[in-house]
Amino acid sequence: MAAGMGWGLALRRREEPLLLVAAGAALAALALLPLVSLAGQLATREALLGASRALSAPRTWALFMSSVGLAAAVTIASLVVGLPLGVLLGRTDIPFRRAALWLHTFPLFLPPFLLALGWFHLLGRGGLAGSAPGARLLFSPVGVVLILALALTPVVTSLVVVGLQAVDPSLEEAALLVAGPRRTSVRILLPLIRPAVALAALVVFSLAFSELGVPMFLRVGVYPAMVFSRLGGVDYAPGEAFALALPLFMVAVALLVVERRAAGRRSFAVLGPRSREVPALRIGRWRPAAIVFAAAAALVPLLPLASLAIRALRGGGFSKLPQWMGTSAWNSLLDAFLAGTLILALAVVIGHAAARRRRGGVGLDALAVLAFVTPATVLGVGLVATWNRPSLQAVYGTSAIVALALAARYGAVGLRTAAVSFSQGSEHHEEAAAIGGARFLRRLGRILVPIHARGLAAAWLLAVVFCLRDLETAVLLYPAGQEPLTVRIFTLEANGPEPVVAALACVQVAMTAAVLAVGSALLFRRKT
Amino acid sequence: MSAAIHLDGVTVLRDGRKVLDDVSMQIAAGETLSVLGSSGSGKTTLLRVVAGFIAPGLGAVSVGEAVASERGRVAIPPEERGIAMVFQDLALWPHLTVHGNLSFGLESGRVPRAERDERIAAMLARVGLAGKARKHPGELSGGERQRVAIARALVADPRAVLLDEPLSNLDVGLKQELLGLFRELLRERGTTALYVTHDPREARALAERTAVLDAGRVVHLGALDELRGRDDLPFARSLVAALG
Repeated sequence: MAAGMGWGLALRRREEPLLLVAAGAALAALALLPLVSLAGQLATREALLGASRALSAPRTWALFMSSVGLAAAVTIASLVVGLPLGVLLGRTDIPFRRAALWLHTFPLFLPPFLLALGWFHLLGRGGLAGSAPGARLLFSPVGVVLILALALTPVVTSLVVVGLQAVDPSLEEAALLVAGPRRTSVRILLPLIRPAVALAALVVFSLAFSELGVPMFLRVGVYPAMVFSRLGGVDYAPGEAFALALPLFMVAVALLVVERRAAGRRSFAVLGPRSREVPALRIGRWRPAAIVFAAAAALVPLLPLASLAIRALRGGGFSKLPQWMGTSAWNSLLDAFLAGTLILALAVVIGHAAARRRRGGVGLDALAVLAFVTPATVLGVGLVATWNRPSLQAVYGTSAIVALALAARYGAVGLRTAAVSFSQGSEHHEEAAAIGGARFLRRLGRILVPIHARGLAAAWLLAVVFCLRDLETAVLLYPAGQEPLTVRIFTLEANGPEPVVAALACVQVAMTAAVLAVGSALLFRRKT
Repeated sequence: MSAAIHLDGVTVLRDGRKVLDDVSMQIAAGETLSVLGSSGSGKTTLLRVVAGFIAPGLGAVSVGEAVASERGRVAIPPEERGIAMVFQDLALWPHLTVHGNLSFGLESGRVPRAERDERIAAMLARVGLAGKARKHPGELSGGERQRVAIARALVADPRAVLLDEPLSNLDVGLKQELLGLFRELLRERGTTALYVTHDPREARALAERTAVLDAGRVVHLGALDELRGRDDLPFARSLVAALG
C-alpha cells in the first residue's frame, strides 16, 4: 500500500502511531534500559555467585522484611488519617477547608528527610521541645513511620478529595434522600472512589519503601540504604549493589500488578471535575471534633518547618547561606525544569494514547508506573550501569544525567495527570478535527493542547515539584560540583553547621512554595 | 444517481456482541437518509463506521468510488474522506472563535485565506450568525451553537454530512426552526446526508427514505409511511403511532 500511495502520504497517515513509537522509545531508553543493564551486570558466572552470596545473607532478608513492614505501616497510618480527612476537606461544610487542604498537602512537596530534620530540631535532645524520650522515639522505627506518614498522608487526602469531586452528584443525592451524611460517605462515596484510594495506597507504599533520607538520618537500617551503601564509602561493592537491587525490583513488579488490577483501567476516570456542584455534607454534632482534626492536619506539618526557621535564625544560618549554598538551588531548579519539560513532552503523546486506549498506550503507561514504583536506588543503580561509560561522559558527567533520571522516575506523575485531563475531555473534539481534515500533529497542536492547556500545565507543575523534592535519585548520580539543594542539605547534615543546614532547608521550602505559588496562580487564574 | 456512500454487509462487534449486524445500504449523491432507532440500536456506531472512526469487523464501507474501510482495516482515514459531522454534543472547540471553528477545516484543505474569509462570512450570514464570528462558543445561546455546528460541517462543501441526533436536547420551537434550516441548507447545496434520530417525525420531515435499526440490524429501509398497516412487524405499530 505504501508504495502505491507514496511514502510521504503513508508517513503522514501514521503520524499518531509514529509519534507514539518515538515517545515510547524515549521512555524505554529512560526507564527500561537501566533495568535491562542491571540484569546484564548479573549475567556472568562471577556476578551470579556474588549475587547468590549477597542474597543468601540472613541480614539481607531481615532488612528487606523490615523495610516492607515500615512501608506497610506508613501506608496504613496514611490511610487511617487520610481517608476521613479527605472526606472532611473534600465534601463537608467545615470552615477554611480549602486553606486547610493547602497547608496539609504542602509537606508532600518537600523531601521527607527535611521534615525529619525539622522534627529533630523540635523533639531531639537539644530541640525546642526536646526530651530524652522524645529523642528516643524519633530515632526509632516508630519515628520513621510517624514522619513518613505525616509526609505522605497528603497523597491519600488529596486523591480522596479529587476522587470525590469526580463522583456523579446524582449518586450522592440519591443516597442522601434515604441516609445521613456519615452513612452516605461510608457506604456510597468511599466505595465509589475505591480506585483512587487504591492508587493512593500504592503511591504511599512505593514512596515509603523507596525512602532513603529519613531512615538514614534517623539511623534506622532499611534495605534501600544497604544498596546505597554498596555504591560508595567503606562498603563499596557495586556488584553486590546490582544483586541487592533485585528484590527491590520484584517488589516494584508486584506493585505494578496490584496497580493494574486495583485501579489500572479506571484510574483515569476516577479523577476529574464534577459535572455540577452539590451542597456540602452536614456533619452535625461531630462538627467541633472535625474542625479540631482538620486544624491539626493543617497545622502539625508546619511545626517542623517553623523549628527549622527558628534554628536557622538563632544560629545566624541565613547570613552564611551565600558561602554554603553555592549553585545548588539553581541546579535543583534547572534539573527539575528540564526533567519536567521532558516529562511533559512524553506525557502529551503517551498520556493521550493511554487515555484513548490506543494500542501501546496502556503498555507505556505501565512502564512509566513501573519506573515510579521501582525504588530510586534500583533505577539509579541501573542508570549508573547504563551511562557510566567513557563514551557517554557528555551525559553522565553533567546535570543531564540527573534530569534524565528524574524524568524516568517521575514520568508517571506527569503522564497520569495528562491522561486524566485528556480522558475528561470529549473525544468528539478530536474527531471533529479529524473529520475536518486535520492529521494528528495538527489536531495535537491546534485542538488538544489548547483545550487541555490547564491540565498539561498542571502535569508539568506536578512533575517539577516532585523532581524538586527528590533526593534518592539525584544522590546516586549527581556530577561533582553540580549537586541539587536536597543533596547539598543531606550531605551537609552529618558534618555541617546545624544553623546553616536549617537555613538551607528553609531555602528548599521557600523555593518549593514559590514554584507552587506561581504555578497555581497561573493555573487557577480566571480566563478573560 | 451514483451512490455517495455504500455499506455492504457491515458488522461491528463489541465485547463479543454485534453492535451492527450485516448492515447494507446505499445513499445516493444529494440524498438525505434518516436513520431511526431506539437507544443502543447501533445508530451512532453506524455513523462512526461511515466517518472512519471505527473499522467494520466484516463488510465494507465505500465513499464515492473508493473502498474506505473493510474487514477490520481503515483504508482511508477520517481526515481524507471529505465527510463532515455534526455531533450530538456539537463538539465545538471552546478555545476557538466561531470564525476559528469554521476556518479550521478550510485550513486543512489549504483554502487561501481570502477565500476562507469569504466563505465563512457567507455561511454565517446564511445560518443567521452574521456578526458573531468573533464570539467563542461559550458566549452563544444553545440555538446559536447548533447553527455554528451545522455551519462548520457545511462550510467546506463536504461530500457528505453525518448528523448524530443534533436536535435531541432542544425545545420544540427551536427544533422545528433548525429542522427547517437543515432541510433548506442540504437541498440548496445538494449535500448527501445521513441523519440519525430517535424521533420518527424528525426522520420523516427531513428525508424521503428512512433506515430503521433494531439491535444492530436494518429492519426497514424506505419511506416510513410504508409501515402503515404492517401489523406483522413488531416495531411498526409504535412508529406509526408516533408519526400520528
